[in-house]
Amino acid sequence: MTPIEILTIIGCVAVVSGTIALSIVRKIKAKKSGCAPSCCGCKYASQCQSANKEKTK
Amino acid sequence: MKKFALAGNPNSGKTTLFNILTGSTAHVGNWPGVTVDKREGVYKCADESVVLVDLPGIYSLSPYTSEEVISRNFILDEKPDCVINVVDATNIERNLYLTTQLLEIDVPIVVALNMIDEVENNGGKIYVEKLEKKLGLPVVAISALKGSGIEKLMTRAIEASKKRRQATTVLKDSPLGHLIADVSIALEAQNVENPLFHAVKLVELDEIEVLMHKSSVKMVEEFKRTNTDKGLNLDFEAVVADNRYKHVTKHYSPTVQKAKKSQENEIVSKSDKIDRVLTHKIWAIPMFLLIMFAVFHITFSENFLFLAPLLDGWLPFEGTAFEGVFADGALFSPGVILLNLMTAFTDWIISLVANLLGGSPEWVLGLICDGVLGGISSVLSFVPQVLMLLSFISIMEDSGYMARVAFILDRLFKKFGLSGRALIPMIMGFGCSVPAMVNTRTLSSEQERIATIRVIPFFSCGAKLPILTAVAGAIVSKFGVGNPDVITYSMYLLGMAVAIVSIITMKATVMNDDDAPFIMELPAYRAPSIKNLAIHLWSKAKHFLEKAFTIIFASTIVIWVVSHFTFDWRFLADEQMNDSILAGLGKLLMPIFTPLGFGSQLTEWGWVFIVAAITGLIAKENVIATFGTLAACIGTVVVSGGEEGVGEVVSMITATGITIPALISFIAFNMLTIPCFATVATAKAELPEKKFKTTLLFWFVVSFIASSVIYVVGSWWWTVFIVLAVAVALGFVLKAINKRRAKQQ
Repeated sequence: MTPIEILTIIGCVAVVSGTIALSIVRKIKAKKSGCAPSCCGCKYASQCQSANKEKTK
Repeated sequence: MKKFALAGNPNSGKTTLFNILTGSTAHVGNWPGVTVDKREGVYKCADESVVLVDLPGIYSLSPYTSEEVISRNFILDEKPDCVINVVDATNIERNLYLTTQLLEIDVPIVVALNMIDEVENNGGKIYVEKLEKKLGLPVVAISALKGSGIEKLMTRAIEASKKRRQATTVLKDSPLGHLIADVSIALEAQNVENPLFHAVKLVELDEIEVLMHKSSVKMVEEFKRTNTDKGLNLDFEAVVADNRYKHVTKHYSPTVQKAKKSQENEIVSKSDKIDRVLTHKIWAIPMFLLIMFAVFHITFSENFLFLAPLLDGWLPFEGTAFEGVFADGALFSPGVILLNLMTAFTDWIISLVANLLGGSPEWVLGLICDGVLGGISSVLSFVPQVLMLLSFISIMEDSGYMARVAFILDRLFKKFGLSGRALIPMIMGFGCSVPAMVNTRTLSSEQERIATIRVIPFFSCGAKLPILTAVAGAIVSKFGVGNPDVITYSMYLLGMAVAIVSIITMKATVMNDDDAPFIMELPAYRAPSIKNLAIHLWSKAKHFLEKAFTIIFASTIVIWVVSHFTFDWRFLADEQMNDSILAGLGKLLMPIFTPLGFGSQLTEWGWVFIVAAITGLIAKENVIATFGTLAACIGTVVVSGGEEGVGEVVSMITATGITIPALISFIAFNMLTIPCFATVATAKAELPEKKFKTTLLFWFVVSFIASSVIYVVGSWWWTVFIVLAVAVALGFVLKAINKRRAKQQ
């Protein structure tokens, strides 16, 4: 295998696993803060008082 | 850190004030009900920082809509250090109704008299000091749009937050004054916080209060019994509302000097003149359809202003890099020109990367250039066109026209069991279904809300637009029939028609609520703010870019890998892709999609359409990204001859032998079927569990039936016509026979 092939494989694995990991982390964070899944990644998640959040409580 | 709440009537400019104070970019619009949730931000000044909470717009603190409950609970339970009551100075009397309710809570209040510039421009005046004395609250005149008076407002709010404020009521001298005082004392004895507010609400027999303070309800009932014969109106909620308005008119109206008659008439007539045309009894709906067609024509047409007959054979910049970008026998619309420029740019990037990787193994080149970059660029090419369409919708919202659209379509919607209010989340669905579904919280009827959430995905969002544009463009390019703008516009209308048919069906079967009333304030026409438009477009562009470089990036890699490996993990060349894992899975599902025209009847490459539709469930942009990834590989087997931008779909058409009705059916299926993950998650959050499951099934069944009908009617329209004609004729004959039999008997 040439270096470019190794680099491509590592890059692809990193992107795919990174995206999946990011999505899982976001969902766990959202769940912990009591938000609805649609609020995943919201920057106000820690302070949010939305009806969505109240619904999941 | 101190916490201040922004409370006020819908469309009074709270979010504009919130954005200017916190530097946020929350969406604002010129129609009531843009904000349906609380949002927080931080205001920083030299002395201290304050957390600001933007509450949804409300007319009162009654518990009728979810926005009212959110605002009321926040003020009562979270105990903000100060409430900034944003009052629309152009509608001061009506706005102060809410202020009279806020007065009854033990919380410091500052009144922000917003849009004071509009009042002054109209020749009116508000005596701020006089009003301040009458209300007993600090009042600051501001213009959130122009940023005037903001610092003074915050200084006074910080000052007010340092002092305690005792609740008062304007109902002291009303017939219910004594009762309110007695109930308040009783509640205070029970250590209830904000006793005056709860007392007034108990007297109104507010459903939340009645449940919370059952023992004190007896006092109200006793009062009613003893006053039955004394001529007092026993609808205490109405008595309270009436007395509030009387107080506002008597005490606060004299602080307002209205515009001189002549000037006022001029202002009214300006708005009226526009409304006379745009909300005309007969012409309003055709006008709306015409405006929408113009928007689609400017965004998608390859024959802009229908000038093709005059420009026959015109090809500017022939032989240069810009050949075919601006015109090709006909002038392209601005949207198509942007699409072509973006496509040229992404193609240039791909060729640059291909040159850099020159000499690398073939699979590396294939994966990076055809797979990843091909997929991402096919999505990015459409971003300028999507933004153009969204900017038109945003202008319609900001100008106040969208509120009129809800008004003019109310009569039509009422026939189907929905109010015009439900139209607003539906129109928001053209941008993105997620905020549109959240916006349905403004609907008071639960069943109307469920029905609206179910049909929102039928209003094609920005992410579905590339599918429509690419397939419509490919139909014109490959078969030489129709116009891309007409096909795209028709598909949007199809989505709306399916929504209406679905609502009628739901109304006839599962919905049994009374028709919801439609009460919505029509805002004044305003010139759209360029800043707001820029903020809105930037947030949409950012959303697209984020998706392109995360989920679509990862998806293109996975698609390329599973399309170039067999189940026993053997690498395949492009031309062997029919033996891949992806092809195997797609072929397995082909029989299911046969009634829709893109199943078993296609050639061996037919699975690509099914695979694309399935990847669209993650994010709708993936449909075109999948085409982009696979088209280059298929291109090594089948020469497409397709033009830029829609070339990927043209390759697919050539390779699969798919027909025009099947392509239209494919668009319809992707438009109407189960939406992306984010929308499904929002629907799950907004709907009861049982309704959510049936909603998922509903989306699949509706898309399957609609697409099958399109394919069957489109493919065998002559046969369908004969069958229908025979069926109708048979029906008439049977009816005549029955009539004759009945007569004979």
